[in-house]
Amino acid sequence: MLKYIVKRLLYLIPVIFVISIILFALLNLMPGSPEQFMVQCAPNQSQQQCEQAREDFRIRNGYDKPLPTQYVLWITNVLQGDLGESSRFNMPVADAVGPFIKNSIILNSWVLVMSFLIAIPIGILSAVKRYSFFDNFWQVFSLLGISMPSFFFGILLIYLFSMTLQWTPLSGMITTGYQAPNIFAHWWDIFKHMILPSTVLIIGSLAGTIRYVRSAMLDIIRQDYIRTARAKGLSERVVIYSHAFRNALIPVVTLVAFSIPALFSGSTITESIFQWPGIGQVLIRALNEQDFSVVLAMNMFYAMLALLANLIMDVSYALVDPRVKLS
Amino acid sequence: MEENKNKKVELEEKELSVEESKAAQALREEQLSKQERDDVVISPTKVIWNNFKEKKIALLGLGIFAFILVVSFIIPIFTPSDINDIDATKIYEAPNFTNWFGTDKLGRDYFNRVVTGGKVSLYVGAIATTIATFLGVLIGSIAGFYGGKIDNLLMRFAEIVRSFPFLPLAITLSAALGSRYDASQKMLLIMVILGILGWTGLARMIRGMILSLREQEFMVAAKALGIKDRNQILRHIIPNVVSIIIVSATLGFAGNILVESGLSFLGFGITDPDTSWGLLIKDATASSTNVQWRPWLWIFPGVLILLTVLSVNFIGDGLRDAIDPRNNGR
Repeated sequence: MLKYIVKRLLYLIPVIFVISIILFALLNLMPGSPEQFMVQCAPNQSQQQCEQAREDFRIRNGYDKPLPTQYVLWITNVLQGDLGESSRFNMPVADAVGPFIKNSIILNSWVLVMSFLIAIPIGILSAVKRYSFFDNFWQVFSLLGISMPSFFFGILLIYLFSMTLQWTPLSGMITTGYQAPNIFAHWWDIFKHMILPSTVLIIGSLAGTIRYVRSAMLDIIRQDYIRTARAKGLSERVVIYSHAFRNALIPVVTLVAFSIPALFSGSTITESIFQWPGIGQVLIRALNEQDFSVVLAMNMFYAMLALLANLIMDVSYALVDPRVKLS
Repeated sequence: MEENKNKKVELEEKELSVEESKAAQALREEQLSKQERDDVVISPTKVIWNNFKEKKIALLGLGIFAFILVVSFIIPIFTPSDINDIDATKIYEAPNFTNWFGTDKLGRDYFNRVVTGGKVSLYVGAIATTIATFLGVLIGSIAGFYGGKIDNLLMRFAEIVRSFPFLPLAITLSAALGSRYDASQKMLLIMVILGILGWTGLARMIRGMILSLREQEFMVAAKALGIKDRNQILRHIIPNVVSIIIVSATLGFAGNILVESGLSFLGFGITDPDTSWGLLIKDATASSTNVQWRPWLWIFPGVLILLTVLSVNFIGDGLRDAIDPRNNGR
């Protein structure tokens, strides 16, 4: 097992290098240049002084060198843990992005837990009562969830619950100017802000999960050992909950494992509708403000999360299913 | 000379017998009742259509989608007016009989704008899907057919493309490349971005199908007959996977409409003076006054995106079940 994981990790190294080269080349096509944002010209400065300051900045940061050299400089820094400097926040990228990741994790962990808690029972019941009204309802519901544009759904919820009924806060993560008397009040405040964005995200992810669980369960119900269990005269309850359900959990567990890295990734559209200060918004702002280092770091981060998720899925599959042998 | 004559006679006799048997067959077919004939001769397309018809929800999807197409492409022919017709006397009017969807901040007829935006969304979705499908079939069939090193290389490449989360990369690409193009080129750029990010799933599926098809007798026979590689793929393999391609393209089309509207909503997709459903919602929701007091500005395009994507998904889902009933609901 350990050998397999090490092998997979080693195999990831060239892949990550290829990705980093592609991204670096791509982002150099971005408009604007970092020095225009980093070096602001003071009104009392002459044009020439300003240009000089910018030139200095370019040379200091190696922007005057050819692209391959710049890449080597950048990747050496990254390997040493230095992701560069954010031109918007004027601080190292890791420090600038860190707090936003935390906010995304808060939102996403709630979404992840809730969507699995809801989807697993529904998926299993749908498979057991195949073609029933219950099954058909959730099949249509999940198509609806896949087809719903998250921004439209989000605005609809804001319109209904924040503006018309005024049950929930409009946007953001905490009430501005509100000093929570204790930690519980603080979290309650956050939770109230979380209700609408998490509803959008849960409905969005529910659809895929229900279908996944349902088809996993259908696969199991078709197996010979289920027929054997029924032939033995076991009650349907025992067959479903003790024989089928446990085996259907194997693919479900892998799906859960696969989703864990997604905790960190944030969701661009939902976060920007609800002004949730998460990592998805950072990318948009960085792009709008041509914050080159942040965009590069974020895309690398996303790619590595996805690669990691694939690895975790394969490994967890082998962990929970003794029939699977990794090679 | 003698031989030739003999042959000719033989041929004539053969033709006669063929004709005879044809006549006999026609007679027999007439004797069969219609029901029986349906049971005997039934083409794969017919089978799929029959299965598809069983699905009420898929038919509903087909109906809704057809309606949307008619409204988008046929009604504008009869109501010719420029989407940029400004009327300062009717700014922000609620929906009424002359302006079905109301008017916007410049007094422009909103129905007209929504329909035009819808056409753009449908175009972008359709062309992006075509690009993705073409790439997917091409790369998938090359990888599956040749196997070995080529397969390995292409599939590793597909894995790298797949490993990126779709939306952030699409946004980044659009921002990085977008500024050098004007609005109409930007639309093309969005199609290409969606196309080159969306082919991996289909390529993997096609590759898998071809790997198993390659071992079957008819492919071995095709190879033994010395048929060119290109024709082996185009004439013998593709017809076997065409149903998968159609399903994948249908679902991909729905997905691409959704992604395009999301990109435009975030400001990284279609830009002024072009318009699309996502862009209309972005403009409408830029101020919270509009969200609260002029809901028609965002409800109409939003509902239309939902209806379009939902109906296409219904069709795709129905097709998938119709093509492979064993696969129900995957």
